[in-house]
Amino acid sequence: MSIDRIAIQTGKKRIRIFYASDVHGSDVCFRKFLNAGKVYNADIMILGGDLSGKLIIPIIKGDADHYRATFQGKSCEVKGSQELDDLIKKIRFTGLYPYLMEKAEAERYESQSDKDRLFVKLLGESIEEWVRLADQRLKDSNMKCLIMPGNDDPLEIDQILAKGTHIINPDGKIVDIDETYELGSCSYGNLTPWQCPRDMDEVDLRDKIESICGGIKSFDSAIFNFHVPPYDSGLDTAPKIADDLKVVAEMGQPVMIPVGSHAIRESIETHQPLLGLHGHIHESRGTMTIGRTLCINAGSEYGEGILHGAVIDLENRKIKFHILTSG
Amino acid sequence: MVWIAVSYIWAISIFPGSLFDVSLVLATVFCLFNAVLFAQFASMMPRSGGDYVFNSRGMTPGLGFMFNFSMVVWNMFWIAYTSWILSAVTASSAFTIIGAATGSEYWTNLGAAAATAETSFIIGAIVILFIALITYLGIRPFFRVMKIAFALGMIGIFALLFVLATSSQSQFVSVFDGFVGAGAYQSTIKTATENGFTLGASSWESTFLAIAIAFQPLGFSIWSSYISGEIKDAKRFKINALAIVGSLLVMAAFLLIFWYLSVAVFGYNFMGAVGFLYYNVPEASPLAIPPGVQFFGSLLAQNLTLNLIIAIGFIAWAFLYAPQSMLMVVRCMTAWTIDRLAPKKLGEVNPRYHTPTWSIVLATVISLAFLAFFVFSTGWFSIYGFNAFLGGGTLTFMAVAISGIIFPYRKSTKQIFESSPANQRLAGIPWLTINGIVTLLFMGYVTYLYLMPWAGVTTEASLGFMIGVYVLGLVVYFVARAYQKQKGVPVELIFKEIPPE
Repeated sequence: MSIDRIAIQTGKKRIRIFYASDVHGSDVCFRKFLNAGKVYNADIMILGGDLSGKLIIPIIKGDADHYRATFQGKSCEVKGSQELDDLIKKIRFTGLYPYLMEKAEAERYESQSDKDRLFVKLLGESIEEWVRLADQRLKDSNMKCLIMPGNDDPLEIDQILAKGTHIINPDGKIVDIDETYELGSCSYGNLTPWQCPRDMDEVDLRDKIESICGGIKSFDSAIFNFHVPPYDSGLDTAPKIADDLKVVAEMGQPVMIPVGSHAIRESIETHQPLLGLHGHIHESRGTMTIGRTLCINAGSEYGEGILHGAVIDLENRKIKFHILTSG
Repeated sequence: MVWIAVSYIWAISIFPGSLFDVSLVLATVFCLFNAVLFAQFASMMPRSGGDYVFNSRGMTPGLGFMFNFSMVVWNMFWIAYTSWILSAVTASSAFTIIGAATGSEYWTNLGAAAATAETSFIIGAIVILFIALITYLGIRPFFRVMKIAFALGMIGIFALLFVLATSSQSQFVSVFDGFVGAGAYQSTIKTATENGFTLGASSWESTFLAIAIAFQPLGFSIWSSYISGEIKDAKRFKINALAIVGSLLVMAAFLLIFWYLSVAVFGYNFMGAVGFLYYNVPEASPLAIPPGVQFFGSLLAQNLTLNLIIAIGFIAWAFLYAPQSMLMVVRCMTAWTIDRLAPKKLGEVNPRYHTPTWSIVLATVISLAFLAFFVFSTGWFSIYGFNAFLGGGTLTFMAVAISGIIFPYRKSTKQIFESSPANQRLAGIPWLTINGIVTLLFMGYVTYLYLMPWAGVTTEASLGFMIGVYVLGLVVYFVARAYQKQKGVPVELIFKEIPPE
């Protein structure tokens, strides 16, 4: 099966990549990502998935310009447009989607499918706004911007990302960088307790990964942009989740277990690319080498408005340096 | 809990007339502000690393590193101290008591041997190596050992509570006289007063001074913020608060119960007198080992099984404290390597256990060196006593308090606060700021108390060590940055703020 290829040119001998992931609906983090290229002097910017926020926060309009919402586990009531704007900003800062509605409308969203439809609608609007913003900010820039979905993102957002004129969605494709480096990308991940839109079992994920790897000509200078980190790499340590989706704790501390993908680990062990770029597990920020491959999980603190990322310089098919950043 | 073994007696021997229960309550109330402050920070920035994370963001990365570097150094001191005290004090006194209770020369000799420099170094070193091993084997075996140690420790505590709750003062007088010699209980009080110990009236001044000692077991309930991972939600804030504040309150409750039982069974004046003689007039002391609640309780038990349970329990507590410090040290070192402030080697993890081998090796070697310093030098106490609670405690807490005060108002952090579950206010003032102000004042007061002559720890050496560690921290920070820069790594980008607009 042939795989789509996209060529990009930086025209530079030494290429600087800025990688970040898992902004989860955070406006602040996405805006920081768009500015990160300039701040870090990057040639290529990669956003490695999980663009979607986690929840809708309904704001119910009451009488006389009063509004009520439940946010951060607390009920809050605001009055007037200024306070309402402040509340909306706070909600957006954490990556959640505020939705203003009348009480009667709120009562209509009884079933889960209705709520899901509303969520996808709000998510779509948010991603459309981001794509417009990216096009606007990058139109006069030479930087290449790759934005990929992750396992949390509904398939619908692919069409929205495709509308961008200054961004590339590299998912499932090979991006040839200056005819020197090949970047293979995969937004899909192994099964999670939350049954995310792009979760699949390890067998199907292995097939998907191998079809991408099939398009790579030289693994010596290949970059794997796989959303999920390799299994048991230390970049995939997350709290254990019980069947009721609660965090399992022992002695007051969450029990931490590896949750990455076996298929992705196997592909790295087998093909030994130059670099692996990963996200997905926010708390496992760090670097790790598997054989000759440097694997990076940039981590995420989107809820705090902090954009974690990695700056990597490549030259002569080698990694000159890498650092993890907090911006 | 090991603290109760000797510290009540130490406290009232230094501050006669202190209402130590009041000191404990006051210290608990003020430490609550620090505990809530850490819980709030942990909910806003739920990454492992404690003060390093809070201060790097709340103040500057350089200051964050400097304070954390000091905390790490003094925690390695603490690992060594706990391992040493396990042999030289806890095990030694437990074995001595068992020897006396059973008439067994074997136990008596073992008790004496455990207190010698060579044996306590060997046992302390074995303890440190064991702690390093469980840290190396990963978080699951680590917590398994913690669980076992906690269970044994609690059994020991309840055994001692049982002994104290079922004994009377007349029983203790009789047992003590039997152990030391006829009339020893009364003559201890008499000798102490003849040598300058003051009996009698309650003193508020002493009570406020004794807060310095009451603070010791209560100020460090914040450890979970150094090792917990990232889970941010409103519930997590409650869990953080519950873990940190809950452990403080449970600790305070146990300390108060033991205090009231100790006073009822041993007698306030006797406790002060026996401590006064041991620490100030050792030649007139009826005891050759530090007098303490565990020791007297074990004497009262008159039962080998109970004595063994209490002894094992108190030894187990050492296995709870020191490994937590080791984990904290290793987590902080790993965080430094991510920020390129420590050699990459320290962050390399073992592929099987996912633990940073070289960080553990470094922490172990330094802890062993500190252990040798304890055992084979004479000047360690002032350096330890001073820095364990200042360099490794109050000064770091004061830095976190300052971060807490300014965090809701700084441009770069304001939004993090406002969008977090910690955004709660009293009359419009953020609770984070209020907790910061109260903590700053309280920790400032405790720091002042440690600088007073009673503690005997403010020496040129102890001050020099403390300043030296802070300076070394700053030197490491700037050298690491310069070294990385010279290698072509743009370290200035690591913490560079990105404008969203």
